[in-house]
Order: sequence, then structure tokens, then C-alpha cells
Amino acid sequence: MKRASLLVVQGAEQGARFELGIEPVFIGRGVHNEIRLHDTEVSRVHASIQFSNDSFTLTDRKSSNGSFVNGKSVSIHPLVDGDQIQVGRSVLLFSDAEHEDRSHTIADRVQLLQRHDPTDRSSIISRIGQDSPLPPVAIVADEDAHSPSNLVVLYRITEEVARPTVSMDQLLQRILDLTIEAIGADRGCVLLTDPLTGEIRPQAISQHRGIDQASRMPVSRTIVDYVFKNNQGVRTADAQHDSRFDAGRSIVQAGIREAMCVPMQGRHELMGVIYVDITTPVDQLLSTGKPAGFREDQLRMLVAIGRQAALAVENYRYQQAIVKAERLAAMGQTIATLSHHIKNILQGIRGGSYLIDMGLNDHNEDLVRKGWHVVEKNQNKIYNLVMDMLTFSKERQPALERANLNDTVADVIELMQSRAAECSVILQYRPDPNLAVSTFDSEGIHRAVLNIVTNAIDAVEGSERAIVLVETGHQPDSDMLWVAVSDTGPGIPQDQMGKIFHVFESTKGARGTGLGLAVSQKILREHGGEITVESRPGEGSRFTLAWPRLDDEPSSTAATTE
Amino acid sequence: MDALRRVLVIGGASDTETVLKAVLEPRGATVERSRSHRAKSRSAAGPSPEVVVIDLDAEHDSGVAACWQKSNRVFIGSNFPTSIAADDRFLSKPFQFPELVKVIEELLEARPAA
Repeated sequence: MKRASLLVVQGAEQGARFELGIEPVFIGRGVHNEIRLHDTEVSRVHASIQFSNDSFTLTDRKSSNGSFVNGKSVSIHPLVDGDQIQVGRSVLLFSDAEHEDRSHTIADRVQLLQRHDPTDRSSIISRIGQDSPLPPVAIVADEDAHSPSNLVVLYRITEEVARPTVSMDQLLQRILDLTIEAIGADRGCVLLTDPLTGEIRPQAISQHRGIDQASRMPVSRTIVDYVFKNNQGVRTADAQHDSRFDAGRSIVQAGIREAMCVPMQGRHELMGVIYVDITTPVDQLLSTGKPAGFREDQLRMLVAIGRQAALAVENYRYQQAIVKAERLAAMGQTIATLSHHIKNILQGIRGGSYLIDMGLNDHNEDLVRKGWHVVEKNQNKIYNLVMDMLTFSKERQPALERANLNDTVADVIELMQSRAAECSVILQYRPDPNLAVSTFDSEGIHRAVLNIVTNAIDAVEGSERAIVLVETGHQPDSDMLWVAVSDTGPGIPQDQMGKIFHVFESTKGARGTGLGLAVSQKILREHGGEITVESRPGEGSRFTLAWPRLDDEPSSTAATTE
Repeated sequence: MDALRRVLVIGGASDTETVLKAVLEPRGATVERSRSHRAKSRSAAGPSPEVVVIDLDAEHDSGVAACWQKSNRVFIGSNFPTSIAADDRFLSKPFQFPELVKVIEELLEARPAA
């Protein structure tokens, strides 16, 4: 099955990834889009992506601000791997999974001829080092009107290097495709040295249209070795016209007339080589007005491209190393925090089990009940922890349904009343009687409110006037639904206000996972909403969960029709 | 009930208090719980309990422990406390509750609060 994805690289949903399949996908601000962007510059239904004829096509749906691919305004545009789609202020990177899957077959498509292979009889006719200057732009333009100037090519390559990319293979493929096109080569490949094993591996391959895409590309090991050893770019002889080569067995057999191979010199080490060749017969090229072979200035330009590509690979590897280090650090922190919280739950279960054991031994049913209550409470803690982890861990779409917000919040109040009573906390509920049925993720909002109410009860427990007040409402001006949770607790110190929504930041010590508020915020953001906090030390806090009403019809209509 | 056999649990989940209440109160002790942020003011308000159980994982303010130096202190937590007196006890989580009960009973028997 065809697979592709869109990664949001800029915008409110930054970091979110949306999978594309054979079903059409709509992009927009409206609630019914598969890809919903919380971006005021995006139309309700802004664009769509359809799969047909083995490729994905973006279609602008008469949006107010237009759709752009790689900076150009488009109405219908076939997407290719690495395309950047801009809608409103959001930028989405298109990745073709098939392209990624293809990388493992590259090794099969490049035939690295063994040293002393009788078919490898390449002859170096020209060589230049890394520091050779590029030829003047004007001269190149005069020589070949069909080719873009060196400066234009390098500009394009530099742009490619700076573009966001999801994989190194993708980056090298784009550089190679541009290179093949710019210098008029028929085929090309990038060979990289494996940093761990030192082996040379094909990493990207590109072939000009008209070349058999299934054919293997022979690469002279002698030439590659020479480039690695001398760190010089080389141009090989036109073998088909070289009398030294046996027409039956030499590289002529592979159809290679000319080849160029240049080093990919990074800041510190040689990363690999770029190898390109021409297989088209001279008479065919001459009939199209193209030059019959590679020129010296093209070799120089290829050396410059090799340097750019090497720096790009190096930067990508540095980036990956940083990401890996951060991932490991985050994983370590996650494991430590969860272990800590699970340990506290286990401590509670041990306490409950101890009481049950004592009660059973003493035939004391009251003690058994007390013990069971403690066990049950900790069982709920595990359930909530697991649900919070699930909500936080996956990119999910809110399960939107028509529901009454007052009922959803009433469920939370009912669930938390016994806990509040146990902590000597008065839990009050003031639902807005005029609140209409509306579209939202009832289960998600339930969890978001539950986490905030749990925090509020924990905050006021032990206070002289321990009150938690929960209210619901609708703001007609902004058409926002809201739930407010106020408490008479100690308040949140100013220096902690900025951190309370950070994952694993908890002001509750052993009693908090540091997930609750982060999860609630995630759920609200899925609805296009936000949580705001007002707090005064010594007086209490008020958390307001507000999100835009997602229904298309006016609030008053919804109230009368449901 | 012996009014001098008082145990105060500071911070942490209410489970510790629930268990200690169920076990120790029938044996003549009283068990109460105070949140960390209220424990400081409470220390100045009345007579010191004989034993204070301090949940280190829940305590952000290290000054809380210092307020209860007149009482026998039992620390419970994930990490060994940085400052601990020779007479203080420490139980690493997750501990077995009979262990905690035993330690508290020993302290209640051995030395009354100042």
C-alpha cells in the first residue's frame, strides 16, 4: 500500500505527523478535516491531498490565503518527496515512505567493481584538489547555453542542504538529482563510508530519464580508491574511444564513456564520494546539441558540490547525535519519574495488603475493608497513570462527538466527591444551565477536567476552608466553551508558574506524576483551546479550560435542535 | 488511650496515615497527618508529637524536618536524606509496613518527645 506522511515543521501543531494513505485527506481549520490545523490564516477547508496514478497530489480548495509548495502558489500540484507545503502560517513537510523504503535497495543497484576486476579499466585523465577555484560564471554560461551557471547550481544545492529533511538518504537524493541534471550526467551515486565499520556503501543513486531504471550502475573501485587516497576529484577517459580498452570487456561493456568522481570532504574527515557518468553515445549527444563529455569546469563544480554534500552529511550526523543524546536523557528522566511514581503506588498497595493480612488473621472485617480501600485507591492511581501516559504518548485525533459539557463535568464531580470528602474538601459544581449540546471529545475533556480537579483537591487538602469550585460556561463573543476550577489552596509561587505545564514537573512531590497538567493541556490543544491559570499565593488558584466551539451551526440553533 | 503517644505523618500520600491509624490507634497511640506546607506553622503551635514520620519525596521545603528536632524522626523516601541525626531513622521506599510500625513502636517506647 502506498504510504506517505506530512510532518508539521512550523505552526501550532509543530512536530505532529499525519499519515497519508489512499483515502483523500482534507487540510483545514474546520473540525471535519483529517488534518486540522489551529491556524487562523488557514481556511475551514483549505486544501486536500489525493492519491492517484501512484502519486499524491495537493489541491487548493479555493482557500482565502492560498496553498504554496516550496514557496510557489499552487492550485493543483503533484507532490514529491521533500516538498514543503505552506498553508496559512503552517508548513508541512511531505515525505514519501516509498522513497524511504527504496533506500535499502540502493546497495543492490550499485555495482562496486572489485579491484583488479577486468571490467574496471578506467583511465584518469584529469584531477583536481579541494582548493581548486570554480571557473568564472560567465565563461561557463557562454560555453553551454543548456546548462545553468555554476553559481545557480551551487545556489540550488545550498538551498537543498538548508531545507528541512527527515532522512539523510532523502537529502543526498535531492542533491544528487540536482547534480545529475546540472552537469548533464546520465547516472550518479553517492558512496559513503560507514562511520562504524569503515566500509564504503552506496547511499543514493540517480539516473537520467531514458536510462533503464532497473539496471545496475557499475562504479570503478580503482577510481573510488584513488579519490579516497588522494582526496582529489578525477575525470576518467572516454573509454569507448580509447584504443587501450578492449571493446568487448572493458568499461565499454557497461556503457560508460566518461565518469567523474569527487571526494566528499567534511570538516574533519572524508565522508565518501560522488560518482557520475555518461553512457549516452557521442553522436546522440551531439545531435541534441549537448556537449559530448564532461568538462574541466564541471569537475571543479562537482568538487564544490561534494564539499557541500559532505558538510550536509556531517551536519545531519551532528544533529542526529544531539537528538539521540536528548532522547536518551528524556528516556532516562521518564523512566526515573515513572519508577518513582510507581514505587509510591506500590508503597500504598503494600500498606493496604498489610491491613488486609492483619484483618484476616484477626478476623477483623473492618481492618480488611480499610486495607481494601487503600488497595482500590492505588489501583485507580495506576489506571489514571496509564491513561495519562497513553494520552500523552501518542499523536491522536480527538474523538469528537455531540455531547453536553455539563454532563461530562458532572461525571467528574461525581467521581471525585468521595475523594474530596475523604480529604475534608468541599467540592461544589455550578453548571451553566443554558449550555447547549456541542461537539467535543467528551472522554478527553473528562480526563482534562479530572486532572485539574484532582490537583485542586490535593492543593486545598488540609486548608482551613478547603473548597474546590467547578463551573462551566459559554463565552458568546468568542464562541468559546469553558470549564473553570477554582480552589482555596496555597496558590502557586510565581517562580513555578512557567513550569507547571512541563511534563514531569510536579509541585505535589510523591503524590504527583507531573503528567496531569501536561496531558490536560495536550487535550485542550487538540481542541484548539488553551488552559489559563490565575493564582495568588495564600489565596488559591483558578484554572480555566477554554476551547472554540467546534460546531458549524450557531450556539442557539444547537440548543434548540438537540 | 495514652495522650503522650502521638504520631504525626508529614507529607506524602494519605495511605501512610490510614495504615498507621488502623494499626497504632487500637494500641493506644494517636496518628495525625499534616501537609508539608502547613507542618512548619503547626510545629510552633502545640506540643511536639513523640514520633514524626516525614515523607521526603513530598517535601520540597527542607526546613520542615528541622522544625521537628524535638521529636523522634522517621524519614521515609526514595533517597537517603542529606542531613540526618544519629537518632533519626530512615526507611527506603518501597518498605514493608510492619517495619515502619516496628520502628515507630520502638521510638514510642524508648524516648518521649522533649
